[in-house]
Amino acid sequence: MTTTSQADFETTLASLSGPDGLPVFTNDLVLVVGVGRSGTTALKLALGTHPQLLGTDHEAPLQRAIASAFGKHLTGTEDFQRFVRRATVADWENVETSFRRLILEASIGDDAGLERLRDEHTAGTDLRNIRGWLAKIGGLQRPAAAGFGALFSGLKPVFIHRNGIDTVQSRTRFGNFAADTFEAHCAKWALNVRFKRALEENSEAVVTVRHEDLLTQPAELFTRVFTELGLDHSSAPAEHATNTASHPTHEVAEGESIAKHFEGRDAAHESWTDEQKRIFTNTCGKAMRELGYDIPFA
Amino acid sequence: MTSPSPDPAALPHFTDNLVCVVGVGRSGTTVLKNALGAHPQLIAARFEAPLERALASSYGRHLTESPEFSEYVRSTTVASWSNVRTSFRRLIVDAALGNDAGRERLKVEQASGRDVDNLAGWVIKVGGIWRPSIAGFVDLFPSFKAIYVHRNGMDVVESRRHFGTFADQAFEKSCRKWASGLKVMRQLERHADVQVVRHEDLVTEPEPTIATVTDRLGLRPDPGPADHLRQRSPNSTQDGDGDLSVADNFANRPLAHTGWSDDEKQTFLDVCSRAMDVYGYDIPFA
Repeated sequence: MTTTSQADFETTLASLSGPDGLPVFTNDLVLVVGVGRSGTTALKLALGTHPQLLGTDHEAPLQRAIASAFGKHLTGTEDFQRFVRRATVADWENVETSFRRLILEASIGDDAGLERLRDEHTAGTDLRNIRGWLAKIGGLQRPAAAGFGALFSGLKPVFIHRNGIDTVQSRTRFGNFAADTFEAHCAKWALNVRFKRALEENSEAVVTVRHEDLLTQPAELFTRVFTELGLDHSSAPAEHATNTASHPTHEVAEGESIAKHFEGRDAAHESWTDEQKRIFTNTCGKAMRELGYDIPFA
Repeated sequence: MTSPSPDPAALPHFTDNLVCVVGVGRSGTTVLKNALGAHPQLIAARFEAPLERALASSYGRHLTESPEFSEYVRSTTVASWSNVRTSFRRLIVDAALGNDAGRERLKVEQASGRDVDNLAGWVIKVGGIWRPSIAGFVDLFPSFKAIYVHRNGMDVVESRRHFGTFADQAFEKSCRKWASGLKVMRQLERHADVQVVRHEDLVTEPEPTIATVTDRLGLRPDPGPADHLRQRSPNSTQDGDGDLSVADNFANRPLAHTGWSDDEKQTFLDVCSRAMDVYGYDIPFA
């Protein structure tokens, strides 16, 4: 970085620093949530191409645990909430800032993401244009949702769900998930409803995305998503979703259209046994109805 | 400019040596924490540490799952792991001792004549602790030591019926809570450096009991903790006669189970017999 560029970076950074010493966009966390194999990675990567969002590279399990540690008392009784606040000697505002910083740094690096922001600046990103940052997690329960909601006043959860039959089938074939039993995959997918509820309890701005729309009508989907997130329109995320096979769809061949790949494949449940169909219906039936999916073998 | 991550060197020297008093509510955890805080080499947090425990648990969870999960958590964390550790440590110290890694508190202590340069450790207390929290505390504070205090289950259950928020709990729930302390003790024995202390010994023989504790903690002998125990009634014996010593009040206390119904006695037997046996307490109505 040249001396001029370094000076420009420092001026920009100073203008970005909020009263808590963190970048001003820190409060505006766009949190992508969904059961593994629902398109969370594809959605996060696509959103990360929006010029007003700072993307992150990985999933955020530690960040979720930190949010849960903070949020646990918020999901307890009022007495318990008072007890935790009273038992904490540091100023509560300082505690909140420290939690926020820890979550931010776990996602974008030391010193409130200093190196990451420097890299973005060097690459030509106008940091003053950033309106929020992205993280994604595979699911969350009430304490974590409450923690994210309390720590990030501008929290905007983006909840993505995918047909349970496709998700379960995909999980049985993918990486670490493949070791789980069929029933465990069904139970995991059925948690979707609980994740959605936990988010809705802690944010009025939950944006819901169907994986199927991400594949078949990304331009329309992202137009709606950006409106709901309060961001300017950008064509980059839809282009990314259309043209880039992200890690969870690694079975898509090079150059093959992602939408076409999904269109042309066999129905996921065709290879399932009657017992598996029964397990799926019992475990996922209610959640399938709630999320608007039919079960063809019910 | 955005502010830098917490600097490990900015934590007071003694914070590496965390002592955690653990025990079911109404077992004497508060009085033991405060007694230890009366030792010139220790500073005790003023309150219980629920947020500190939650933080340790959120940090320690990945350490208690599979090596793959542990690796996954580390590989998805962009900040350097040493900074993550420092940030957790700092948050726990702040929550327990106050802003600026407890320096505001240290100033107050110093102003009241305490030699804070001489501090060798700090004390917190929690009502119970499970494996993720234990793993978190041990990793974050490598010199972590736990002191598990237990008290006769009948006294604890009876005491909980009359005390603060515990009083709303059903008799059976109090029994279960007390009995669960045994699991907590076992977890500590398996995964941490723990010393087990009997509440009854703290009350009736404070000097030798506390001397064993301070010796184990590597502290020099000091009369402060035992004096504190002799003079301050633990919460659990606060309903005694103010003119009598803590030990005399304890010796003269009414039998805890005197007012219990037959159903309650049976519940206690069903839920607490095993733990009573392990701890070495008799059940007079068994």
